[in-house]
Amino acid sequence: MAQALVVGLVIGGIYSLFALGIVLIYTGSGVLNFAQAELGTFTLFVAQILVVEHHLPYAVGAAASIALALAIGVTFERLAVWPLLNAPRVTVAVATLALLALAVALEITLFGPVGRNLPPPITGHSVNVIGVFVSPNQIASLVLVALVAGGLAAFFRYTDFGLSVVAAAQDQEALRFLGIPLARASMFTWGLAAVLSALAALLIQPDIGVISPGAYSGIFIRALSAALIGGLGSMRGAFLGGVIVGVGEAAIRHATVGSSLTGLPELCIFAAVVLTLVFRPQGVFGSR
Amino acid sequence: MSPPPTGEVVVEAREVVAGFGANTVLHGVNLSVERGACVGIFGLNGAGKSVTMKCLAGLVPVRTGTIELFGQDVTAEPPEARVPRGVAYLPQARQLFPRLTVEQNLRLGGYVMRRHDKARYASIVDDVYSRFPRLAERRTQLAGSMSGGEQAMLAIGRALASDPQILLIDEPSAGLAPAVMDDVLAMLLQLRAEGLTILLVEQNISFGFRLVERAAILQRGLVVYEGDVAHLDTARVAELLGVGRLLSKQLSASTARTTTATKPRRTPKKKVT
Repeated sequence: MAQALVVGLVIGGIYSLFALGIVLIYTGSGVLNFAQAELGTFTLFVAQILVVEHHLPYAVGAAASIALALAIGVTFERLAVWPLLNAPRVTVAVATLALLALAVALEITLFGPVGRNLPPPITGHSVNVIGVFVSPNQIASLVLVALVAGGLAAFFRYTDFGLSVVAAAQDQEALRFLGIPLARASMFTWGLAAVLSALAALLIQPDIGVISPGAYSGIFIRALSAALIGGLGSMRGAFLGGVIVGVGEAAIRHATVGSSLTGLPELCIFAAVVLTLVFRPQGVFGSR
Repeated sequence: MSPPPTGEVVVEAREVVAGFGANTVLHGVNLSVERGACVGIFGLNGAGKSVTMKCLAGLVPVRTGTIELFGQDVTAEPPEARVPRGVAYLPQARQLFPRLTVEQNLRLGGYVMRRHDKARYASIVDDVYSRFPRLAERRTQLAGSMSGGEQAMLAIGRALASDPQILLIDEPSAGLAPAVMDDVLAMLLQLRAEGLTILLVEQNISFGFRLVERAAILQRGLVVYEGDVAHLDTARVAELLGVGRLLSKQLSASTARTTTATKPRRTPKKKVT
C-alpha cells in the first residue's frame, strides 16, 4: 500500500503541473484551455524524435520541447487570445478546442498514428526508502515538481511582475490604469501554462510509456478534475487537487487490483468532482 | 489654503466625442485644468461624467477631439502610457485587487516607479501609511476583507503610490457612511492643500462643493458651465444640471450633507455612467 501511495504522490505531483496550467489560464483569461495536456503530447513527440531518431542527449530533446511549448503558448496568446480580449469567453474556449484539434491532426500528419517510445532519462535501480522502492525517475520527478511549485510561489509573491500576473487575474482594467502592461501578463500566463504542460508530459511519459496522438486525453480529464477539486481559481488548490487525484487513484487501483473493478479509480475521481461541485463549488482552496 | 493655481494647463480636453458602439455619450466636451487646481465635474446620471474621466485616463477611446496632458497630445495613448506622465485614476468602483493584501495593492500602485526607483517608492509608501495609519495596521490583510471605508482609503493610497501630479477621482463619496465620507473629504482637502491637481466627478453636490473651487457641469455630453463654484447657487446649479425647479426645491430644502442632489428620492439608485 505504501508503495502505491508513493506512486500516487509522484503521479499526483505531475497532475498538479497540468492542473496548475489549467488554473493559470482560467484565472488569467477566464477560459478552460482544452489543449492543456495535448500541447504536452505534441512537444513530447519532438523530444522523442530528437532523442531517438537524431541521437541527441535527452536534455537537448527536453529543452527543445519546452522551448517549443513556450513558443506555441505565446503565439496562440498573440493570435487567438489577445485579439479576443473583449469577446465572450466561450469564443476563446472554442479557440482552445481548435488548438487541441490542430495539435492532434498535426501529430498524426507529422509523426504518424503509430505510438513511439522514449526511453527514460535516468536508468538505474530503485532505492529502498523505509520499505518503499522509489525509482530515480520518480525521485527526479518529485524534486522537480517541488522546485517548480516553490519557485512559482516565490515568483508570484515576491516579484512585481509575478504579482501583476496574479492581479491581472483579478482585475485587468485596474492593471492598465495603474500603468502595468496587461499584454505582458497575458503572454506570460499562456507561455507558462504551455511550459508546464511540456514539463509535465516529459515527467509522466515514463509511466505512460507509448507516445501517440491523443494519448494524454485521459490525463487532461484527471488534471481538470484536480483543478476542480482544488478550486479553479486557486494555484494551491491545483497542487492539492493533483495530489488528491493521484494518490486516490493509486490507492483505489491498489485495493482493487486483480478484481473486476478496473474502472473504479476513474469512477471515484468523477464522484469526487461531483461532490466537490455540489458541496463546495469554489473548490477546496477556492474563494467565492 | 491651497497654493494658487499657476496658470499652467495640465489637462486639456478639446471637443471630445466618445461613447460605446452606437451610443455616443460625449458630444464635444471641452475642459481645462490648471496645475494645482481642484475641479469638479458634476452632472446627472448619464451626462457623461465618468466617461469623461475614462477618456482622460485612456480607458475609453476618443472618437474625435484631442486630449492633452502637460501640453502633450495623448489622445491615442493607452492608459498604461499615461501613468508615467503623472496621472493616477481612481474609478468609482475602486477596483482594488480583492484577493491581494493591502501591501500588495500598494506595490502594484507603485509598479511603474518601482521599476527604476525602489527607494523612492519606499518613502512614498511610508507617506501613504502615515496618512492612513489604518492601512499600516492592516498591511497584510486582504483588500476584499476590509470595510468600505478602509477600501476607500486603500484606493486613494494606491493612487498616491505612483506619486501622481494629477489625481482623477470618480465619485469618492459613493457608498460611504457619512462619517467615513468626512474622513475622505478631509484627506482630499489635505492633498489639495499640498498642491496636488485634483479632478473629481461627483453626484453628491454638497460633498463636491466643499472640496472643489471650480466646477464643470455636464449635461447630455456637453459642458454647459465651467467656472468658479463661488458664482453658483443651488437654483443655478439645478438649472445647469437640467433638473429644473423640482430639484431646485429639494436642493435648497436639504441640509443633510449626504443628499445626492442629482437624484430624486423616488428613483432607485442606478448608475448609468
